[in-house]
Amino acid sequence: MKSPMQRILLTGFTVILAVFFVTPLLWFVFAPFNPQASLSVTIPQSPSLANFEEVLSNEMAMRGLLQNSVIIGIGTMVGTSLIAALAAYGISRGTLPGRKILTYVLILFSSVVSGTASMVPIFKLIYDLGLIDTHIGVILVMIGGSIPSAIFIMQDFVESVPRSYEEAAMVAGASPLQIFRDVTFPVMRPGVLVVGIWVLVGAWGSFLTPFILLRNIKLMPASVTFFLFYDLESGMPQIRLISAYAVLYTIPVLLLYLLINWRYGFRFFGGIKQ
Amino acid sequence: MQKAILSRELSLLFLAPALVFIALFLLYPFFSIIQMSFTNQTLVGANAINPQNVGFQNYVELFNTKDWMRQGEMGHSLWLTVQFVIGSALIGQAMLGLGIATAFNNRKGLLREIVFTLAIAAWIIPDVVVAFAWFAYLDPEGTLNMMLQAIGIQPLDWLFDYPMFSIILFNTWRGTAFSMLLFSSALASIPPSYMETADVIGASPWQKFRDILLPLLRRYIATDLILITLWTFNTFTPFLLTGGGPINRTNVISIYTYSVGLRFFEFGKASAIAVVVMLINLVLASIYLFVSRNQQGKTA
Amino acid sequence: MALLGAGHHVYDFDEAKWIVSSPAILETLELFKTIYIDEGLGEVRWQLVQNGRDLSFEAFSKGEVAMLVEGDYFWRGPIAPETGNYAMANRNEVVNFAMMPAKEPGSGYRGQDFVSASGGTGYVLNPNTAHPDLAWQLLTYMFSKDSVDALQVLQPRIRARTDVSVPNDEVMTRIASEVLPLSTIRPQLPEYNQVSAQIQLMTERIVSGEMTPMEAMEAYDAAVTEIVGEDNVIRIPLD
Repeated sequence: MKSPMQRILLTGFTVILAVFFVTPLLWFVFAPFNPQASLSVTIPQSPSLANFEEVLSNEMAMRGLLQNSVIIGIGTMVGTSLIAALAAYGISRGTLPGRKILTYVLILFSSVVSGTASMVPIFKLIYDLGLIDTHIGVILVMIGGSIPSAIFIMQDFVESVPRSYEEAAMVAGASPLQIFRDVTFPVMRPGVLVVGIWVLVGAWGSFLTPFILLRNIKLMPASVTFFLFYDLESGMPQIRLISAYAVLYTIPVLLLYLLINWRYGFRFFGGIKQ
Repeated sequence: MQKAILSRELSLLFLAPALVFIALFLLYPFFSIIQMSFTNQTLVGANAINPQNVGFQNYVELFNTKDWMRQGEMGHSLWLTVQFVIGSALIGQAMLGLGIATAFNNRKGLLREIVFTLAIAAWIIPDVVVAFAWFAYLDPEGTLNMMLQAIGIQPLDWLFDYPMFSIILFNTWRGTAFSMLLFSSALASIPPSYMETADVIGASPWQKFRDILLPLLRRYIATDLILITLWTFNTFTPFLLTGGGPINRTNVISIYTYSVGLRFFEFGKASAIAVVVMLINLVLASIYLFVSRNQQGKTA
Repeated sequence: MALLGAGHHVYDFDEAKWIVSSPAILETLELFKTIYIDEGLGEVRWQLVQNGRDLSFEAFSKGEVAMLVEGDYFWRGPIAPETGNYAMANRNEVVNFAMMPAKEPGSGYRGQDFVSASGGTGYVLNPNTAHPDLAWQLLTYMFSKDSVDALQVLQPRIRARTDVSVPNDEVMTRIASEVLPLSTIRPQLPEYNQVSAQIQLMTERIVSGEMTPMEAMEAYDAAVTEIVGEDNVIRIPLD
């Protein structure tokens, strides 16, 4: 079935795609090690770790990266995964009217609400709940924003779990919550993890929500503490430091992806159904 | 018709935590935005404390026929957004994603891993940092021009002379992974026997693609288009690259909303834009669904 | 800055109105046209792309640009020896500031020979505070000579007090004493952000060659009038 011609074509296609996807990232390979880094790809004349040393010695930036981003990211990941898994199960195994269209409508809602205009009501809401300047406030808003898409993707994983498992458990006299906890959830766990990582990556990169809801620099995640490497007066970036911080900031999510990909394959199981 | 495992009450119970979040963090802000879109709420000045109800004034201003195609106004911005969505979402992400998924369908091995890993890396790198690398890529003396020169093409000043093409290329690069993943899952669910039968009859690759894969993929294509159109309407990352310029030439709707909302602090008007954008997406989503179902009916 | 050199501000502080059309605006736009279009003395690209200012700093630090219009920030930030992003080790020998001349002596803003525009950080007392006296005491302390002198050790720069100099920096000290008295500020009004965007757009239209100075000023007039209202604008007749 695979002729040599096809083989060559595919290899050619792969090379073109690899070049397309990887060349824009070359800057990240050189700039962090260049004490005179600018907005161009230049091989450092005297490569050094000076940029990293300066970034690593910035206590607030490291706290943002190693502590706050981790708390916010994992909190959002765990919350969203659990709630979306429950909801997807409820939608998939129940008979709610309009359930097929429900997630689309929710995703439309979430797109409006993720925009800049919604920051006013979101701020008021979190203020009224007494959660301004807390991690939990940021986590709640992020969970709210990511739930529709998470349910949407999660529904597929639920569908891929054979119903016969659950029916067998039902015959054995298990309660619905037991069935979900002991039968369905363990089977769909890779799916939950994939959605979880997807949410974590989103939360890791999210800027606007923490920027608006947090005041104390000790609480701000790395996406916001980037401003430590901007000149506050002019708004100009200090490029050599930004490049080093960017690499430190990106590596955890890349590694997580590679881990998940190696363990489970980062894809949508079973296909997206309408 | 499958038998329901959960009763209606029980399935609502499973949905309850999600519904609480949806009510608080989606519905409440959603209705606040609709309400705010009928006021002259601002962040600074007198209207910040006592916003007035202005009826449909914000909407009328947005669709002010005299000026609305002027640079930096709503109509001009919508037109740019149409180019951006067609270029980067429909042609770029969806076609390239479908192409990659089809080429690597039923294949395993190093080539597939390389392409998938790189595409996903481009997808998950956080927004805040990605623009810096792209300045270096698109600079007149940048990596892209170096590559083009190597194959004998004159260097171009991408961000300055071709800003719209630049952000289309950027958004394609950034978002293709999603369509690629979605379509490759969809293709994996098609029984290999279909293709084998076609091989026996002696169908060409294009015939196989058109007559077997495409009809089976219609619904997935609709799902993909709905999501990526919506996301492309809302993506703000091109701002980091062009700031909406030069001279408003990339002032797509997300950047327009940003200027109105967070630069000029006119929250009433920004809310009205958000509502209009949602309605446009609602219409587009309905069209995608309608077309995919109609076609499905004809071919079945 | 160029507009100030041609004789007036974007805002008339006495009348509390925006000046949307005047011979000075037109002259300023003509100057930009001369520099960027007719004689090609400035890099058009840097005025129009997002990272243009960065690129201009880099080019200056490499000696590829002879002159930039920048403030004291440029001196103690980007090109500062050692700490700057575009550090110039020999900054003190090869870089200096010249005052911005008016079109002709005495024809600048307020009849000045030289002009300047400044920004800065302000501190305000919240009118709703429960402790106005304490807040006032704090601000008084923060701006006392002792505090500001102490701050100069950490972040040397031009300060609001005339009796505090910039330590070990003759260039900054000279700017503080000679230029600051001539300086003016941007109008701190709610609609300033929108007007500012229009000013930027007006200059970009010239620099890119998209509009003539007259067309760009007319477009600016129309846009600003729409933002602030017909009652809040002044038009100075053209000769």
